[in-house]
Amino acid sequence: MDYIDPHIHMVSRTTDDYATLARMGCVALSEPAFWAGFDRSGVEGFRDYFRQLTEFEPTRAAQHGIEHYTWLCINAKEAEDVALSREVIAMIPEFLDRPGVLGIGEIGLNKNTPNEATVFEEHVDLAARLGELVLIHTPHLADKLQGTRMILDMLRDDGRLAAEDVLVDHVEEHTVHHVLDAGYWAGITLYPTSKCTPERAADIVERYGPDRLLVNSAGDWGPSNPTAVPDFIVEMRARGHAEATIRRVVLDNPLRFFGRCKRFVSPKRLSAK
Amino acid sequence: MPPATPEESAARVAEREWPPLRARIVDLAAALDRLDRAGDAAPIRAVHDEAARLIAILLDNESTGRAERVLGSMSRPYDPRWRARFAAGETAID
Repeated sequence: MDYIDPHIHMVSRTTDDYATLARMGCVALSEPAFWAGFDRSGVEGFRDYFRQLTEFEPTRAAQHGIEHYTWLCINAKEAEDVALSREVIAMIPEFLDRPGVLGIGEIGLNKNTPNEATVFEEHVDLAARLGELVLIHTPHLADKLQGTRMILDMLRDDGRLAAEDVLVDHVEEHTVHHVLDAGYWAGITLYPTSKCTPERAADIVERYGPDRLLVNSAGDWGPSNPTAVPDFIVEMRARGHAEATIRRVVLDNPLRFFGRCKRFVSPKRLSAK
Repeated sequence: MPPATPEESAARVAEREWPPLRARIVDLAAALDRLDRAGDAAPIRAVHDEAARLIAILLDNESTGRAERVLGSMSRPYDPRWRARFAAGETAID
């Protein structure tokens, strides 16, 4: 089945993973800007990173017939440095019109601090002023529920972003209903130990229906499985779900959300069919 | 959109779910044994106590939503007054 991984950090993966993704049926992926595992030294570090996301990674993906889309921001962890964050936010518009850029992300909260909230709101302001989509990271583990609700408060209080233009990612059983009730897209991340499994993702789809749900691997430099979305497909099939239901979550929903971006061009492999 | 109900009999669900559930229960038992072998110091007792608290939620067969309740019970509290508390100089909501 053709699928899209809407959240995977290919800068941290080897080219072998692109080959594996291609074999598994991945036609496209989207890569949010994230924390590299260390704090960058300044705004020029982000400029080089944005070049990597918008130039090198699309080329590497194309060699395997995969369309690469990307998102730009300063991540929640480095957002504790408000001065640096404002420099990065000011630089983002330079890159928004590059091919494959879908919007602002993955913004969010990490430890739910005042500085993180300030930088989140300034990213939202940028997105609202420029008419951009937003992809949101919700915190890990014990911080997730509190951070998700704070994020939803900030989105509600700003009020300018259309719900259809916002994806709140890394939802789990205790946060998914908050996100769906607020009208946003909800991303389920299939990542060992700290996030969901394919089985739990299938449970969430069964409980809430496939509307506005996406699944992703969030593959990064930690222990993660870039083929997590195919694992979800296999789990759903094992339970007897219709192909149309599965395709809705792994292909149609990502295309509908990405399609909200005024610059979005459909993956070439899908357009050719 | 309504929930997505797969075409599966109860027998099929039980047959599919039992082997991995059994394996996870054995993993859980082995992890608790591993903690026992690490001694009785405060950090070990703290993990034991937290595990026991969470396992008690799993054993509640009167209501569903165990995953949500377990995750919720391990979460920092949400306070709708967080903005006011940040404005007052607090840096963490706990």
